[in-house]
Amino acid sequence: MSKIIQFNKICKDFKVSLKKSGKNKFLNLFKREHKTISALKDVSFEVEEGDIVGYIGPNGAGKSTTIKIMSGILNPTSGECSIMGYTPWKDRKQYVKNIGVVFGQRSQLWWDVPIIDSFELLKDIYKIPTDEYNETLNELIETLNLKELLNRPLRQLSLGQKMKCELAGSLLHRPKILFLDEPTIGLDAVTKLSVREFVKTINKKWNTTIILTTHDMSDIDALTNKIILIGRGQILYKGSFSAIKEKYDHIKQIEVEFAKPYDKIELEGYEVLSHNHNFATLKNKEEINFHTKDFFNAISKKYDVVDFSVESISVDEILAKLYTELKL
Amino acid sequence: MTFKGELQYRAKAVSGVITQVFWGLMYIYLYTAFMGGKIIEGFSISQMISYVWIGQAFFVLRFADLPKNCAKEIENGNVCYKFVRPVNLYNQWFAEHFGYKLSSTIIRCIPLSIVAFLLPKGIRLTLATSFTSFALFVIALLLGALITSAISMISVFLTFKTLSAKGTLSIVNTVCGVLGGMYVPLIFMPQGVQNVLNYLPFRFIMDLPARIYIGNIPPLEALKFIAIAVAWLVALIIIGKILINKASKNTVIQGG
Amino acid sequence: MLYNKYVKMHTKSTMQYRSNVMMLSFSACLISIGELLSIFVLFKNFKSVGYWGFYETALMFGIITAVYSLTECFARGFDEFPSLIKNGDLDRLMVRPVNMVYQIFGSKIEFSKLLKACLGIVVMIIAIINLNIIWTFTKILVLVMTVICGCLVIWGVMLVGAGISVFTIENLEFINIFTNGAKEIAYFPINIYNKWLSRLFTFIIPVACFNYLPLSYIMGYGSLPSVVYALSPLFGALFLIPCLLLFLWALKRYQSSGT
Repeated sequence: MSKIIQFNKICKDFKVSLKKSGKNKFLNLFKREHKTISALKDVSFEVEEGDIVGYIGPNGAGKSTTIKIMSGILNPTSGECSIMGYTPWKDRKQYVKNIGVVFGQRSQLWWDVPIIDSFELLKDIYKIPTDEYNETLNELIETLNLKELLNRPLRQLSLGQKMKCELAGSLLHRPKILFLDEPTIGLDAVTKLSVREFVKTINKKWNTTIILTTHDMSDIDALTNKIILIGRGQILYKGSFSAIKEKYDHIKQIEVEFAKPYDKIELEGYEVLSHNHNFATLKNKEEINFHTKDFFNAISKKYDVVDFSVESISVDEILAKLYTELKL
Repeated sequence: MTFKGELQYRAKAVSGVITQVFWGLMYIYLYTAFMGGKIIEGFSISQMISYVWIGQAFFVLRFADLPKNCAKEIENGNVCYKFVRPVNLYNQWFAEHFGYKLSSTIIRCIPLSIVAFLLPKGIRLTLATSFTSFALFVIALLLGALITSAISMISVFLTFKTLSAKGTLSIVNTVCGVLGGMYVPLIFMPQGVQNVLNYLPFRFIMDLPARIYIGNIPPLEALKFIAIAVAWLVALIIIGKILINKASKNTVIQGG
Repeated sequence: MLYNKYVKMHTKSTMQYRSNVMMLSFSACLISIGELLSIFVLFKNFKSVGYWGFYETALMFGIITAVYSLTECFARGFDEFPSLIKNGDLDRLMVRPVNMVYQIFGSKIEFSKLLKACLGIVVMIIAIINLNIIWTFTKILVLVMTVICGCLVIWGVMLVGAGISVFTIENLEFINIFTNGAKEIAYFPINIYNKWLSRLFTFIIPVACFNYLPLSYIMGYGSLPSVVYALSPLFGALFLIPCLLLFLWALKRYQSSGT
């Protein structure tokens, strides 16, 4: 496996002009004060060919900035970046032939023209040979179930259908790398699943390297084990997602059903998250390890328990925990 | 609120003043070149210069416009939600529009008139001929602004019909501009045409105030024209109210 | 060819809003007719200005109208460059393996300006019929060059505006002087204005190159050697070079926002 993306100590500063609210508004027209905000600080990472990598972090962490640098739209203040041997912002025209980009809620397709026409235009833009184009298009139509959508303009499609078409559009030229900026935002559960399934299929079939940013941790859970966690412009963690999950694996959430309603539920070593008549949700405190047997003994001593179920805490909660731990 | 919002665009205003000084100078040189060939009674070159500067200073008042967001709401049909509310839409739009026109005019006219007064002699804006004519000028100008607002309200109705705000406004403004002497001063037109256009509502927007200011129309005659302007204003408001009422009924019946 | 596809796409998209486009075409023409009427009124009252009478000026008006409409139709992407930046479409163009200038041409075509271009040509023809010009091959060539170079000059002005907006984001109103201002100035022979205005629009922004200079050749007016008048449109074409360079320089400095 070769390293397809190499990021070496990339920094990016933005100059922001400050609007003073002082008296001298007129003077401010000619003189402006600037403040430098550093969006990325010494960001280094590598991605191997054929990987799916989840790029996660809270809002304003620098995710979009990184994606934009990788797609050649922004040039960094300092640092080196090599993607497939290209420096994205220097060899723009050559480089972008090899990548596909789906920008969150911005479309590359035409609003009021049938989707298939937009695809035909992309064929010319990327100079895709007709045979290859037809073959790729058929494959995409099949896997994404696009047949019905192709003759309709973008404005008539639902959010999920739009995303499917966006994905197909950015894959027509069979890019080696695909950047997905929040691909599942706003989608319903079923469409989310099918989009994820598709991303996986493409990755397997064409060995496409995929970098995706997302807020939805179930995307990461379903798609990849490799994550890069970024916060305040710095990389906080890179590696396997399961390692993080394991770290919090001893924390469980327990739903308990009691034989009769209690006024108050209290149990040493546990936190009561919710309580309603004869149901309650508890969580063990972080310093103790959860054992089913110990828990059952402890609770049945105090209360009359009918049933209970144990669940690991959700990935979203894990992330929320991480963020608070790292004070983001 | 509209007034305050408008004040924040000072940077744009500076750029705007530069632009308008340019336009003013352009017309002054153009008309000077033409007027070199023929003398018009009661309209000397220096009067022409002031006439052009007044036109530039109160440039914003010339144009009919739709109330804020109105164009979008009509084009996408959301305007029907406005009809459901228990306010008089005409009055609300009219007040909003008039306030907007007034505030943006004040921002523009003060710096521009200062600049125009400070220019070298041959191209400078001169003071009004008398205090009376200045007072009448201010009254006529306010009436002009009200007439523009009334025409704007009629444009709202027309936009309901055409569903294209941009197209409608440019047609309305071209008609107003040509007939109101804003493309070419009425005084340059053939006498027969002038006799008709003098009494149509469009010339009251800019031509009348400017000509009162430069003393081309003496105070007594000015009063007569101001009375006509008031009559037109009332007529245009009544027409506008009837039309908007009609449009609102149609929209509600269609169910939006 | 890729550009043909762009034209096809814009046509399809425009056809979705047929009545709106017709409305815009019609209203744009109405404005032009209003302007022509004003010119007519001025000449009716004052007969002539220098050598120039109504039909000479109408010919100039026709050329300017055609030139501006054609450029506004096909180079609309440069004209509306600030909105291309604001809505993020420029980022989209940058991730495609096609020359940026080519893509910006393709990004917008404003068909509603075409009717006005036709109107300009009609006015030109009417003026020519009424002018008794003895046509020669070079005169026709100069006229064609005038229209072509006129488009290049106006495209150049748009490029400068677009280049500046890379840094200001907002479209600054004074750019209007060089676009619409230049247009209105050029309806009349530029040498009737005072010295600094006519110099500005001859040497800095060479509007005169598709205005009274080539027409002086066609009409046989003017005191300079006729070859100067005949070749004047080419000077306008030279103007494009620095404009294009400025635009490309600015584009290189374009930085997308961080979000």
